[in-house]
Amino acid sequence: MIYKFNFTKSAKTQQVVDVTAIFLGILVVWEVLTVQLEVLDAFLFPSPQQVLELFIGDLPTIFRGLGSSLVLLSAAYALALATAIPLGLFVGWRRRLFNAVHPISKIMSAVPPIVYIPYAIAILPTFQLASILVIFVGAFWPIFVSTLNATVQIDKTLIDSARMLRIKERRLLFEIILPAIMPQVLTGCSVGLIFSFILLASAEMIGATSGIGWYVKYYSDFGDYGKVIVGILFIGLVVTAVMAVFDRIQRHLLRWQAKYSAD
Amino acid sequence: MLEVKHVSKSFSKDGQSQLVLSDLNLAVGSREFVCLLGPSGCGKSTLLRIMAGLDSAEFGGVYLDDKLVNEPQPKCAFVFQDYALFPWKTVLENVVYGMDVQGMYDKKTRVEKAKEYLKLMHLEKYENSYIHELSGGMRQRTAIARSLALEPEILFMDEPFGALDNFTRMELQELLLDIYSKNKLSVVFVTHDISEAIYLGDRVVVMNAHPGTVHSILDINKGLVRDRTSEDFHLYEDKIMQAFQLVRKQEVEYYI
Ligand SMILES: Nc1ncnc2c1ncn2[C@@H]1O[C@H](COP(=O)(O)OP(=O)(O)OP(=O)(O)O)[C@@H](O)[C@H]1O
Ligand SMILES: [Mg+2]
Repeated sequence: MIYKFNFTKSAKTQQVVDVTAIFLGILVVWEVLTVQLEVLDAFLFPSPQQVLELFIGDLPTIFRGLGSSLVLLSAAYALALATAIPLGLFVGWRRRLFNAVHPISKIMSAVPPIVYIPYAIAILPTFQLASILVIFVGAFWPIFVSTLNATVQIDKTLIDSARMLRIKERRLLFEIILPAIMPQVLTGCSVGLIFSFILLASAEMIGATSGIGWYVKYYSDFGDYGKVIVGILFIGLVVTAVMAVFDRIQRHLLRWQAKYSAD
Repeated sequence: MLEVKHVSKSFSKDGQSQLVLSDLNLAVGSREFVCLLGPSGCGKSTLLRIMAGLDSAEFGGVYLDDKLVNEPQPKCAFVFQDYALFPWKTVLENVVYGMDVQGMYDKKTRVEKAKEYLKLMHLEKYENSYIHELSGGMRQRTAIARSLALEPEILFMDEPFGALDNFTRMELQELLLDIYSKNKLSVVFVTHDISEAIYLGDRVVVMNAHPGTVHSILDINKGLVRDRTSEDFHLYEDKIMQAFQLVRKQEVEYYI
């Protein structure tokens, strides 16, 4: 146990060192190519220092953009969680409903949600609503499908064990089946979250007037590639931060599993 | 009184219907410890599940105090062979949950009662552990504590000690007998271990296979079998061995 602990700890430190080294390496190459050797076109490839200055100068705009993006994202994602999980449970639990819905959901979930964007903008009064709808659709399917499949495949003795208690269906669904399939549901949720970001950025690049995706699109239209790079790096940071929070929540919810119990 | 009347059950296998239980009759009195003994695949689990109301009979039926059993009944608990504990709950939460679902006591009393049962099972140190942190024997004890906490009148147990080592098994057998003698409780206990059946049961129901029926029922004089090495114990063992040999002979004739 002690050995393992030391091992993981030093492996973690090693990882931090390695990642930092790679990151610095990229910075150095970037700096050398743009500033020292000037082999890259200065218009398309601004130097690291220029990008940093642009970033700091544009912080207020960027954070306002982040605010409006996160509103869209969280509204749509929350809606997806609130509908996909109960529906997946319910449909997965009712054999006949499952048999009817499963083929339909297979077809529907196969459509890349990006193709809905122009239509959503056309049918809904505001851009906000249109992007919420599209992000919702993108997040809904992976969460729904993973919940559905996990419910159908659930360990039957867990159900029997609950049935012996003469449990009510509602409690069975939410207190037995849901926690039992939580690992698969969370996998669906993380895929749904990544889809949400992709759709958020796509929707904003098509029709928004603010937001982090809009920022990148807006400045690339002006040929301001310094700001384009700022936007891209910033999106990377935001997605990483959100996924880190997701990871923490997942670890907490699955703390009963052997692989998470050490934390 | 739990009565199994003319119960038949078949499963379809490779498109063919396979008779697993055939016109099976059995009665379990109140405060009686009945062991169902038979070779693997003879339908013991199937019968136990039907008796508990988890499955339904194809023909015939199970009656609890003359009422048809078509779903799990109140005051019944089931200990599954593979424990079927809730891994996302701690040991204590597992025990409390069933009482909560059945609306027994208030929250504080439930926790107190649960702790009592865990103590009885020597699990008080593991109350806050998750299931994956327990050994097989500890899991089985948790499963038993969880069932006892429901204060059942009938306890169904499907090879509960099958996966345990000899030491743990004997310890849990003692514990079970002790609980049985102190509570108003019937036990229907499935096993394929002859000496376990003799040691625990007031009656041993010996089953045939293909299709599952009752071959014979052996009344055990509990005063005689407290010592597993005694003459009488071996006498019972011999009787059951003979029964199984009969079963085998019949099968041979059947196949010729
Ligand atoms: N759900 C099912 N579907 C199809 N066949 C089944 C099902 N359950 C049991 N069977 C069949 O019924 C027969 C009896 O099974 P059962 O589990 O009752 O045996 P058992 O006596 O409990 O055996 P063991 O001691 O190995 O647990 C077996 O041949 C098995 O293949
Ligand atoms: Mg069995």
